[in-house]
Amino acid sequence: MSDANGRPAGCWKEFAKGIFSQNPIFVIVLGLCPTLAVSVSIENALGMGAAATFVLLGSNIVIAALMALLGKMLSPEMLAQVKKIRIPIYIVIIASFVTIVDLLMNGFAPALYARLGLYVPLIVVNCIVLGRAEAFAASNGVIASTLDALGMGLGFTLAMLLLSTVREVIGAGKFYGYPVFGPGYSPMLILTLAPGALLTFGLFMGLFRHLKNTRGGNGSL
Amino acid sequence: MDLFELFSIFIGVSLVHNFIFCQFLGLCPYIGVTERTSSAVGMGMAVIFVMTLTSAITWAVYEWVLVPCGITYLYIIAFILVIAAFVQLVEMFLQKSVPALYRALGIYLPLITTNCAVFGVVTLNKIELFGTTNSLLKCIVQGFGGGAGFMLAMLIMAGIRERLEMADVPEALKGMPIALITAGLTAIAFLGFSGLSI
Amino acid sequence: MTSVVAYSTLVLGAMGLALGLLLAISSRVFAVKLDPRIEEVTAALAGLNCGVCGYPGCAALAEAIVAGRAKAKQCPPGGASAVRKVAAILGREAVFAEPSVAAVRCRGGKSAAKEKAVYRGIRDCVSAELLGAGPKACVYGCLGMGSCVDVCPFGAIRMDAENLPEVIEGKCTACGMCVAVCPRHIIALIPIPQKVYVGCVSRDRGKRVKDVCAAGCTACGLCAGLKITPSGKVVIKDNLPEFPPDWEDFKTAAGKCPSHCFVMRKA
Repeated sequence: MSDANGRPAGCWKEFAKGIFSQNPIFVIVLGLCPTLAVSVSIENALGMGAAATFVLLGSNIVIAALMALLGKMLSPEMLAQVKKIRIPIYIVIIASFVTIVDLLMNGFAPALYARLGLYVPLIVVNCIVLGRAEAFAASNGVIASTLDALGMGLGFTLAMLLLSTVREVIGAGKFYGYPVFGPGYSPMLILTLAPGALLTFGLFMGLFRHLKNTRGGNGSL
Repeated sequence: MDLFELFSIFIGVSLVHNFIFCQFLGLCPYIGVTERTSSAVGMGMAVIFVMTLTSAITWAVYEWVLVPCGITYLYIIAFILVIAAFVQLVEMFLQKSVPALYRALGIYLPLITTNCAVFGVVTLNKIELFGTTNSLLKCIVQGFGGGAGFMLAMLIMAGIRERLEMADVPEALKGMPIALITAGLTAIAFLGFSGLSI
Repeated sequence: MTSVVAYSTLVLGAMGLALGLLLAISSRVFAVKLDPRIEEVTAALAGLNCGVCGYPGCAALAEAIVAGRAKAKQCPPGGASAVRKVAAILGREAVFAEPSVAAVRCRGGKSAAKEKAVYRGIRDCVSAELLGAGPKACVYGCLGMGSCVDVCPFGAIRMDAENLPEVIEGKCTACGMCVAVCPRHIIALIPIPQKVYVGCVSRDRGKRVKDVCAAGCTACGLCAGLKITPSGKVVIKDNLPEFPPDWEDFKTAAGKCPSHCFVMRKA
């Protein structure tokens, strides 16, 4: 999934970079708070990943469109003035999408909403969303921003899935709620608790960095 | 006014449900700021200050504006606007009136706007405390306690990390991974508080 | 339903407007009048916020320069161009720092120098020095634990295969942090025009040096002899050769030294 394979750069690259080379969790290291808290079970991870991807998609598209429109409509001085207050603008747009997700989840998936609890509204301060808006959507077109959002959202979900698989299978002996090992398995409970998240994540980061170092550090995992 | 209940809230949010070690709120600046004890103290003070005051202000906005107009579902946008504006205001005020404190806090003040912990505590207030008796006081205590617990976590971490710099850490684990593992081990210690109920 | 929409729009719009106005008014009320020259000077400096000047960040140094408490030459990464720009902005005379580079004056690495003990402790030269003067047999030589590498803000020094620090001259800004941290004062700043330096700081002579290190200067005095150095610029002081920075006829002396102590800079 890298350019070295001779695949055409452009669309695929914008999408794929969010999964491996610029994975928001393991490479850029943003958005740790929900990752660690939510990765207790695979179901939670999928739900959170979907919600975050929705918000990312919405905010990236709107912000890219808005900045492109303002770039065309306003004079350079006015644009510079607007750029000074860009962060509150992004935050309000992101907060609106998070409100939509909050209400939708509360209405259509109340059990998931009750389990995710505090972390659904917390998507608004998720560094990934604001980070991509500031670093990418503000200066790139709508299509590129859409692909970027999808890639980052997918990368975020996959990272959470990785963590939650380890934590749920070893820590609770279940996979998506279905018991994996027999009844004789005594689960490693520490993994389902708070410390387990930190330890698992730290070890995974170390593993990925080790892989990257031994591969000669050519950027892609 | 039940002081015991307030004390219970304070202990609960600073130790039992510590923001870093239990609820994972505020991890991004946590890893970034705890490389030196001095910066950890500065950030901690700033966070306590912002958390306490925004708890009060968001309570006021919720109870006096959102509830009467029947639009409580907009609390996310309202709270984040309040936090962002408040932090900006405090920054401007400090720069003019108390420049020594402004320089001491440095870049940590603007960093607090997107700090998950600040938004987390006001959302927790909304979920748990709004609508109960004496909710304003309880919110303020929870805000203060959350900040105090955050600062405690950061001081512990900064102290350990300063020593960790001298240690012979394997190459792949240097920097962030070992910091996270350390945090995990400290979190196990904090698990000891989980049976604490007053 | 419509009332919810109406209220939402009105209340949020009003909040946004009110907060915006509040911030706009506060930015006037709490406006801090900064000397505009400070921002210009900040831009003229290197902008690395490395802290080598002793101030917390480039903006702080700029403020001190404008106030007259500091000089632009205190910014080694900025170099001569920063000094010139700042002098132009403030209308003051340009005072340049002498262009220098760090030099590691020890060649007693893994193969040449002996150890007197096995060291199990913090891998830090300052800490090792505190513990019985470190594990190296030579009390003047480089301990090789890399405190200088760790402290360099520019990544201009690295450990080589012989466990000795090597200065990357292109990156070195002569800030002096490695000089300050080395517990044995092995690193020194030498002026750029100087092409050679002595790779040893041992104050001992003769057998005492040879017993602990094959690469040490034994103060044999060959380099000071007029047959080798006709200009007579080398003198042996404190058992080490001393010479001025503009010493020209160093090639013979460098070739004749039995321990190959003279290091030629890869200028």
